[in-house]
Amino acid sequence: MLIKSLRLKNFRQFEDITLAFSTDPEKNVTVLVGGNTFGKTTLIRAFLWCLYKQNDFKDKNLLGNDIAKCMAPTQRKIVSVAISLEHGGFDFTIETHQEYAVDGSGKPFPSNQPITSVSKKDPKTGITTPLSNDNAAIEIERILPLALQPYFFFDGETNPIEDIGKRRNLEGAITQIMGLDKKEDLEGYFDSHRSDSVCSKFEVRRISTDDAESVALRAELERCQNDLQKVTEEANGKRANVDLLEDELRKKEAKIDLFKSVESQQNDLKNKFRILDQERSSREENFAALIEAINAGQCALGDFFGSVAYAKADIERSYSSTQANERSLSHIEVKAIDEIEGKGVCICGRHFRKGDDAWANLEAQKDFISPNDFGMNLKTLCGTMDQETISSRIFYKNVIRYSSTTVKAISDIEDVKSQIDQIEKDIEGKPDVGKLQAEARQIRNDIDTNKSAADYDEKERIPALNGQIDSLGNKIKKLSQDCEANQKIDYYLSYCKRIHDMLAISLASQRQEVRIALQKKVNEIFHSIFGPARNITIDPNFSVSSLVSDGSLSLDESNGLEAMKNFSFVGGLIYLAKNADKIGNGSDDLGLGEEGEIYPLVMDAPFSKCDGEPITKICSTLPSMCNQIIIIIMEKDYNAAKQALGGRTGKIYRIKKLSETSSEIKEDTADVR
Amino acid sequence: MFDSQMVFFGKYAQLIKKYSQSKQGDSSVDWIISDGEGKTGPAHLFSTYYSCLYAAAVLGLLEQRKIQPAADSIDRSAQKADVFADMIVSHHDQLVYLYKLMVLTDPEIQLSNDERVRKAFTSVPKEKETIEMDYFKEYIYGGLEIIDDLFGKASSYEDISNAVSRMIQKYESLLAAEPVRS
Repeated sequence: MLIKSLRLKNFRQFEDITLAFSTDPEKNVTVLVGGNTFGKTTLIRAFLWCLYKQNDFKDKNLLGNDIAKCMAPTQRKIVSVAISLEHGGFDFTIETHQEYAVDGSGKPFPSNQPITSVSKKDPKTGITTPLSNDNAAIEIERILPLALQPYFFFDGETNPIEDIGKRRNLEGAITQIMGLDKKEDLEGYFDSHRSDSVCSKFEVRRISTDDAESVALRAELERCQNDLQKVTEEANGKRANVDLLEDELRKKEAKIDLFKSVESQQNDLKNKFRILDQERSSREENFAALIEAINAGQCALGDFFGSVAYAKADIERSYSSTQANERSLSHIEVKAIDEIEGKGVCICGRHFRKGDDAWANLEAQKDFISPNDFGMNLKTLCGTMDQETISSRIFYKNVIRYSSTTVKAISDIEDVKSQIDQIEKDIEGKPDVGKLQAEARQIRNDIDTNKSAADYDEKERIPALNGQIDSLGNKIKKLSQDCEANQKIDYYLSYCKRIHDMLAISLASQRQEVRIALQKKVNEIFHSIFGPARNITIDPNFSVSSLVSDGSLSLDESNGLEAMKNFSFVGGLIYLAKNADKIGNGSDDLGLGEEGEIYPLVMDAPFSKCDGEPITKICSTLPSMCNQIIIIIMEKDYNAAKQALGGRTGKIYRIKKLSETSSEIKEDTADVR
Repeated sequence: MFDSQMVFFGKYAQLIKKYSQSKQGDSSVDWIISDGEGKTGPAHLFSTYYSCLYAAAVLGLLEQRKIQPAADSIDRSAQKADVFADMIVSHHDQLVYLYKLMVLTDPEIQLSNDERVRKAFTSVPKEKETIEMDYFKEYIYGGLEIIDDLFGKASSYEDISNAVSRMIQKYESLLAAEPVRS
């Protein structure tokens, strides 16, 4: 598969662009340079939508916003992506298009399902054949199987190249690239335990003896075979689920990784919301405390004003020289004067009569004696007011504290809200990383559950059923072997078993050969980039790890080393695909590998996690490993890659952002050397 | 004196209701404020009418603001606020105390200090109760107007908190010194 061109019409921010990719084997690199939000990821997704109708955009909308804005509700616009490519000696044009309308509020929506058409041209005859819908999908699957797409198209977000070594379903992909899946199907066809195998078909033709024991055994055998088929299907279903879940987990982890920096902002945001709640509570509580303080007792605010009025008037000093104070007789009561007046003799011995001066003087003293002791009353009032002044000072402090705390809380609320606004603006449109992590945890649990169940099926239930089937088969055979026809069937069956065993041995050996070939090629590439200090190992499950030269597993991998490892692995995969017919056939004559096929390597932001040196090393090696590289890259990464790509760059395009909703792409012929 | 209900009318009844929690079923005088975030609700400064009139009376005295209301300010057909007798009676001593303070500090009373003391600490004769009550109420009216000057435009927690601070900070220096003992 060699991609010749890509055309986008009304697709997201690209109104109408056509990109011709370099197909020159000596200049097999096409570079597209653009900044963040310029539409780099859109281009990768355009490929995937065209080939598989896969829409990974968060809002799912494909129609350009600028176009949608100008549309009336009755209008329709077509979004389309067309890829022209060469595959297996034929030229293909694959086009997917979808009709869009806008609703009353101007929001675009698809008014039909996307339709993909494929036309196939034989360059020798010049005849172009359009394919039917069903055949179009089959042809695309032949050109680049959907399951293999994530190994050749890296979008930088949901499928970054950095994650390739972490994938857990590599074995399936490699099996498919090498065509070993077809051999596996053949092995199943000769598996005597399976009810859909050719062996079972022979068993059906066996002439059975009609004795009760044989009938019962045959019924039991049929039940066991059916059970085996059911359990095998269940186990396969669980394994398929594991593959799907692992793929989902990988995408989720890539997203988590991509938005790692957002996580701290999201945590900060949660914290700010907590602070906001606390400040709101503080505002409510302090304001309530303020009002409560004002109303404490019989009205503390009134008492406060009373204390101030008393202090302001300086009553104690102002009234210090009044008669009330000077003449106050605090320890005598009116009754005592009345008694003296009744006796007509003062306690000093002086006699007096009612109405004379002495009597009048005694009468006048009654104004300064309790209960008319105004001086005492004044003193009592001053004493009480002094006490209240002490309470009022406390009241003052409390009220100032409550009111200033209320005002501070209000000001803090404003501050926190503006901080929240800022953070929300910063993380707008970005996913909730905490939620993604919880979802990833759930997926891991689901994977474990499915794996355990599949393991149980494969290690316990299936072997037990196989044992039962073998035992029942032997018993039935024993009862019916006298018949000549049955002896023939036994002969065929042993032939099938022989083929089955050969295929099983061949498959195991081929897997091993493929693994060794892949490991060898990956190391060859890795050493040419990194040097011989480390090796890459690929285990029987095709998991990739890098080891330091003494053989211990490397746990401390820098981003640069990780990038080199991953690019080496991708290079190895492309090599495997290209040489599928030559690898793994050495051990026997059962080679059923696919004919070698070339694949392009299409990448968005592949160097976002490494610095200058690894970029240079990767770029100087990778073009020689691949047939076609389409790389969409940031300006700064391109500057680091430019020199190393050297004469391998066939075409350069520059993506220019015209507005938030519109970009254009122009070829930069001046920069191609 | 201070043994029966006190009734306020017109503008002053409205002010008492506005700044008190209880409205006696009259929601038209609600004091609606905002929390600064778009949420609004009724607010109050005083939990009872009594607290409001008491604080107003002392504030009027403190600021020497007595008001003889114009007839339309105490229009009996308009708003009415009752401070019931049981409330007045239960706060009798506090009100008497305040009355004494008024007599002792009112610069407009043309009496010698001895006569003031005698007047302050002698029970008000029955026949003079109405006059003295009107005198007392003049301070309440004055105080209510001061409160309204301070809080009339307050429309949020922040406004009220700031107004309360301003209202009492003005007197901080008067409370600062310990009273001088003679």
